[in-house]
Amino acid sequence: MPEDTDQRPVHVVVDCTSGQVTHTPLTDDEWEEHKRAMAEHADRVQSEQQERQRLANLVAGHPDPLVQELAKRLGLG
Amino acid sequence: MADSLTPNIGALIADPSDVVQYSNHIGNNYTLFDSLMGAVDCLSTARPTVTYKGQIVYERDSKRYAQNIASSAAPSWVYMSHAALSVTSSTRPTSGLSAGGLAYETDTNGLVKYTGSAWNYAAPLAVTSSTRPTTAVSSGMLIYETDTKRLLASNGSSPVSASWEQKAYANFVTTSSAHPASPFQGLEIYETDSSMSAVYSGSAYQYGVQQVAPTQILGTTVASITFTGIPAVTRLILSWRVRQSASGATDLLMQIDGNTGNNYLWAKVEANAGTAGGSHAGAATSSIKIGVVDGNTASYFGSGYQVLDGWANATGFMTTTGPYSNFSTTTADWSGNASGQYSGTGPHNSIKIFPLANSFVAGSQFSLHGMM
Repeated sequence: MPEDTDQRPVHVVVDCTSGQVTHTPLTDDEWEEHKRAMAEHADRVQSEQQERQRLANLVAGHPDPLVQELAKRLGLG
Repeated sequence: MADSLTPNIGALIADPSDVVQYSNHIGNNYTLFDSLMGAVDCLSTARPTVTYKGQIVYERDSKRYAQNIASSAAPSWVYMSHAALSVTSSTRPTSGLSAGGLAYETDTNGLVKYTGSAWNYAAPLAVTSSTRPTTAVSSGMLIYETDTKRLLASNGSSPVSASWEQKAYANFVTTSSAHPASPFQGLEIYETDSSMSAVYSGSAYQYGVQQVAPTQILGTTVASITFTGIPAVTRLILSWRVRQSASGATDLLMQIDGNTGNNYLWAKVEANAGTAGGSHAGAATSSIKIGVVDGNTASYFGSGYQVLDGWANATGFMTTTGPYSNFSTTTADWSGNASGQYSGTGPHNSIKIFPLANSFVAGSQFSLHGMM
């Protein structure tokens, strides 16, 4: 499930000396950068999926057995 | 009938036919009776010469009661009192003793008991490793060494010096540069500087792989996790089981000592859905890629570990290497080995792990172990 962009995640810090664990919400700047990276990742994944589908459509039913084998190995068909 | 004497104290029994002589027949006897009233006060070196079997005396120098257990002609004095004598370890009494007698040694602060044939220490002694007792030691006797902080017991074997066995099971708290003197096989220590425990094998201290921080199982969405205050061990093992908050694989990254500058190198070989490949940083960059994390399919996690070497090395850069894997779907997966270098000398202090994009989900877990 995609991360809720209305709820900031936290940084966890574990002190090995004391065993104490602290949770600190992202700062405003970190939160903006975090959301930017999330959006960029989503765009990249979508683009990769679209490109993958385009390649799958391209090789679907291709008469060359080598192309069919390559498509199979790349998980396109 | 002639005059006679009583058998115990020698009082005069006059011939009944004698004329009464006050001094001999009455006065002297009364004087004798008076001198023998109760426990006769005397010195241990000057007990009564006129005595009888059963007579009790009080020695004002030793502050003890003694009893003549033999006869008036050949007295044998035995101490009756249970109050402890005050002696030294080299001046324990050798006569006038009975089983159960106690003595306090002013030089050792020890309490010794007389068994009927020998003196034995009756309570644990505080000594040093070089002043262990050599006499009055019996099987089971305990000593505490104030310099090594060990509790030892004698097994009763001979010689006494070889009879001491370590009996306490508490670890010795020390530092890596101040191990206990005269270790014995099986001795366990804890080093406060390295936070590591070790066992003495008989010739060397042996360290195992030990946890340096509590395993973290996330209970919420986490953008990064950092271990700080990591002790100066030789090698670390960082292990994980992760899942990220969005679909699509992203890089799992590591930074050292909070350094976000271009001070890292990485290289990896990787198979994606069975297709092998490799990549590297090619130039100094801002983190080390240590794996892949995805969140595409519910309950699908990825895992891996990195072995970080040179953690406490002050003359060389820290290096790391380790395998990883991640399953995104039944047909999409990642598996590889990632290596890296942090261009900074030790000792180091912290490790930060984070995904390139998105966050770790609850249920992700991280462990950190150290080796010497």
